[in-house]
Amino acid sequence: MRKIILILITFIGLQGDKVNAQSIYLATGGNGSFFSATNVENIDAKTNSLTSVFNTATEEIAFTVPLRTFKFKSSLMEEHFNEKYVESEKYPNATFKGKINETIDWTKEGTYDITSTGIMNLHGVDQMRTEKGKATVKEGKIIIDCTFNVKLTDYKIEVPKLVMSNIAPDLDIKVNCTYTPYKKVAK
Amino acid sequence: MRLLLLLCLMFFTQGVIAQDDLLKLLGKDTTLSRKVNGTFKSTHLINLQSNETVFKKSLDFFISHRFGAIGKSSNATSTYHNLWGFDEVSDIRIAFEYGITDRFTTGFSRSKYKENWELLGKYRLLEQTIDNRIPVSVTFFGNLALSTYQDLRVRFDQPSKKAEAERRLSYVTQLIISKKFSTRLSIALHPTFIHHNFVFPPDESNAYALGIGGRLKMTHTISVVMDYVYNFGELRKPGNDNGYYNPLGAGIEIETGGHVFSIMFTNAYALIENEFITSTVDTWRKGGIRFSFNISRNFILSKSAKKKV
Repeated sequence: MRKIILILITFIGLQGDKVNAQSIYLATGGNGSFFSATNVENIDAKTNSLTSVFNTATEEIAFTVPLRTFKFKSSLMEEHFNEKYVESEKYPNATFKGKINETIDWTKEGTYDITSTGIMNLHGVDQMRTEKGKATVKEGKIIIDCTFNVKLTDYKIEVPKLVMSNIAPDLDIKVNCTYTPYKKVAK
Repeated sequence: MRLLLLLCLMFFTQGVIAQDDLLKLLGKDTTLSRKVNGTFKSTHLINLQSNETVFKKSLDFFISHRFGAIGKSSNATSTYHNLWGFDEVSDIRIAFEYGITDRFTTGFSRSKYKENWELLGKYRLLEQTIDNRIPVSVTFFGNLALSTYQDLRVRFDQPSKKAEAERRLSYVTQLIISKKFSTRLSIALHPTFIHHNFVFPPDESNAYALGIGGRLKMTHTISVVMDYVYNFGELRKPGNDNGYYNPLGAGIEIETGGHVFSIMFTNAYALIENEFITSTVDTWRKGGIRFSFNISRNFILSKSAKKKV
């Protein structure tokens, strides 16, 4: 028994060490964009204020983006986006917390197809989702690319009838993050 | 032994970083120091200007139409013959306002009442921030209006053309102090100074007034808007019965992405500050209320913005 515990402690000790020091990757200034295409007009918006944390040991991943940082081609659209649709005063961020489903050796260089299952929160609504993406490990960095689709009604974002022809019922979303090892875990 | 196991578990739970902690690593929301958006939907409340300016390289085309009084006005009483004011026009104003920067707007307008040609400027001096570090927005509004109205009294002493033109000028200087209390409620205060180069006694050249206005959002697109202007000075003091009243307006505003429609009722006759603040001669009590509407259409003129899509 004692032996087992000893082994356990050593193992956990190592694991803990690994988690704290090497396995956390951080991406700041990640790119996010969305696109709405209708016959009347195309609306697109971009942000480069997306941040993400990725723990390669547990394969847990989290994203957050302040919705106010989305830039539109017109300031009026930006105002309407914040005021009428995502209500960024009430719900300032869109987040995703989940886990990568595949087991990947994150120290080995290469490109991997990945899927992640987790909870996406937008406009105060939580939704369980599984999204596909691509991960590239190169020179100690990890790059994650991901494209997915969000249905506005799933997140209780209402489009008034008057402008229904201008706004697509679902948006194409793109995310691109470059992770570098996170040096210190603040304690 | 149990103790050891417990210790072991404690170590274990410490070793694993929970997901919430992952997000905590990301730090604080840095967007809270940003300015508040959309205190009001358009550049106007009912009669008064709002703190909002036109965005950079955008043009706001603003049409206002005011019908005749529903009931008894200073010079007539409406009946079914004029469909309670619907057949008449008190004032029409067409304005073009252009955003030189997001904070500075210039504009031009013409209104029917006293044939006023107006040049206007609006500048955002202060912008309220989300974290309330700057608690209010302050916008400066100023204009210069030339009235080409054929009023013989302006020429009573056969002035030179230059002197006559000067007489026809009037100016408004106004601060618009507004606060967005919540997504639904915004309130504005308008300390105002109006100067007419030439007035007919007993009126005075300088007039001081304080406007107050507000908006209450009912849905994302529909709001209830009100405003009122109090005139200082003996001549227009309520109850002094000199034939002047303070303008009060209330209406509904519908925003449809690029367009803002407002429909309202007010006792004011004219549409620009130079006239409606000092020249309102009808009262709500006698039915001197006018149906009125504004249409604002926003055009994006920036070429680079169009190319991006």
